[in-house]
Amino acid sequence: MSEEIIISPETRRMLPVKSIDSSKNRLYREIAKRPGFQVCLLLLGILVIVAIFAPYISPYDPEAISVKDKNQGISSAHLFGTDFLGRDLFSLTICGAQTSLLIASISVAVALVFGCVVGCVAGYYGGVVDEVLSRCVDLLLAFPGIIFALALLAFMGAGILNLIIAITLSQWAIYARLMRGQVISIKNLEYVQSAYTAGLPDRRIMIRHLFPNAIMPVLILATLDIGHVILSVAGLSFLGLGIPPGIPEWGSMIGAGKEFLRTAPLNVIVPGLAITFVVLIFNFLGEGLRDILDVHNDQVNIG
Amino acid sequence: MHYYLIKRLGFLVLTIIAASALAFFMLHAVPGETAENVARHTIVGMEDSVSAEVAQEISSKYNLNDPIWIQYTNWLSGLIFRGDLGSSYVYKDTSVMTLISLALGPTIILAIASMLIVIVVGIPLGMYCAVHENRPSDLIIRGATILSISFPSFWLALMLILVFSLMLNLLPVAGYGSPANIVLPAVALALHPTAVVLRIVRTSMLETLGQQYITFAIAKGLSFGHILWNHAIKNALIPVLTLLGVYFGHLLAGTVIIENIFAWPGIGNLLISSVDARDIPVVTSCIVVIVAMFLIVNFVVDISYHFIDPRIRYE
Repeated sequence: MSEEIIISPETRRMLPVKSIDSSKNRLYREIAKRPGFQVCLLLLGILVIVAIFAPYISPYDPEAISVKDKNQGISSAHLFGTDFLGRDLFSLTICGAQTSLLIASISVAVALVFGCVVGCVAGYYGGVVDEVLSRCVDLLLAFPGIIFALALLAFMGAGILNLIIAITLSQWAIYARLMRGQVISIKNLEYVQSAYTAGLPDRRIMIRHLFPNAIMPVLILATLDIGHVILSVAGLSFLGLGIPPGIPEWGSMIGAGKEFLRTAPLNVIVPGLAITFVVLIFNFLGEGLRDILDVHNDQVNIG
Repeated sequence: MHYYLIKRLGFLVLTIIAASALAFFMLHAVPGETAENVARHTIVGMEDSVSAEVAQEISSKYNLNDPIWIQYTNWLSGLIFRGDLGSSYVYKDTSVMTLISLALGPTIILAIASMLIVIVVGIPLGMYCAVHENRPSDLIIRGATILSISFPSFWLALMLILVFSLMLNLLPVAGYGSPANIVLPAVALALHPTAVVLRIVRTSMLETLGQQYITFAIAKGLSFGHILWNHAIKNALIPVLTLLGVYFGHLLAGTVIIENIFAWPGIGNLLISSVDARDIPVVTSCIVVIVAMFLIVNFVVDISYHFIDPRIRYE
């Protein structure tokens, strides 16, 4: 990767098209070598499709309460049994996938964009701008784990939009810090300097030259983070701070079901396995992506 | 070194103050509603509708009508000069300091117990994996670590209760007091950090074992055990130390959920019950205490580098 970065735009234009292509081919070759990664990609694809079409796939209406069928075990009618209100757990779990994936992907995407812009600006301009932005980042990172999101939600109240805002605001600082480091490490390379000397405006230098070359480790961190964010969302909903009642979500299903742990453990086991399964896929994907793109370990660890 | 220490200490105090300001302003941003919520939670018969006079009375009692920055300066000066964090809205005006100091002990005990599990399990297993790189045992343990960072810790806690308390009847479901009570929460809390520490120890150990001075020691004919324990381990564990500092913070954040499940009377439990009751002084103080503990632990870790690795110098 580092060799690719040093190629100046002029040289890149002179190179035969094939050599640029080969880096893409390398990616395909690396993926082809890893059957586990392909399986994870396939599972992710299935998961996304299931999440999108959840209301059409689920055999029952996830909201349909029928108290006489409550806390049933696994049967052919109810694949995962029924919950404490007689709702079909399989349908609830599928619709929960929609909620979880939607919230996690939106908040990671927004945090990623915001963090990258802040990090890029801080790293490129340096000086006072960097100082101010970095102190803000430090301040946010002083709140460990879900504490900042929890504080925000305590003030704003539960709700899907509030949850997304809280997660986004507590996540962007990590991306900003990593992006800033990346930008600082490449901004003195010759091609950036020559772009500056050639009189390109700052905005163009950042968008054309700094962003594409600095973003890879940040993207990998984001992939690794989606699993982490799904866990945070579930945790906050479990505490009753995330999703309002009435929307199927795994964390709140566990939270509501924990009262029935002794009599009907399926209420807790099923959504928990669903979370584990999805987070596992994202963790394997992030892991594989890191191997394939050969990003150095210490660039991405410590979330 | 002294200059560095003072500078870092100054930054530490400033960050804690800034974090407290952030938490304070965030939670106090809705003045009118605060008084109503307090009334709803404290006065019998006011659950549904709160009369304007009562809200007004509560507002003036807790100075909720002052501009927010005056409220904050009062709060901060109370903390600095009198060691006073204000009084709780809900617990019959008990001072927040009393509530926090009662809850701090259990949380610290729980965090230390989990940290012990992380160290005792994570470091030796990580070294074992590094020594047995790519053998079946290494692959199995690494697979297990990926699995365990994918579990939600609160779900694992419930599963532990299901198996060890409800089915096998070995350990108590929840509570505080006897040593048996701490086992399940500490294990549930330690799961994620143990997996991460294990992986970092393995990577770092592999890197160290590839160094030339290790090759030299092998060439000299030293036994592998001697090399591992006397030459490799010190250098391999330095990056792990930073991680332990960071993960101590995650443990503190994790206690919020775990304490809730096990009815552990710590900061996390206090925080969640206060969030439910909109007891804002307690919520603010809990958050500030958690942030302060996190920052202080990381400060100590940073400083201790100097003693562990004399090659690291501070400007």
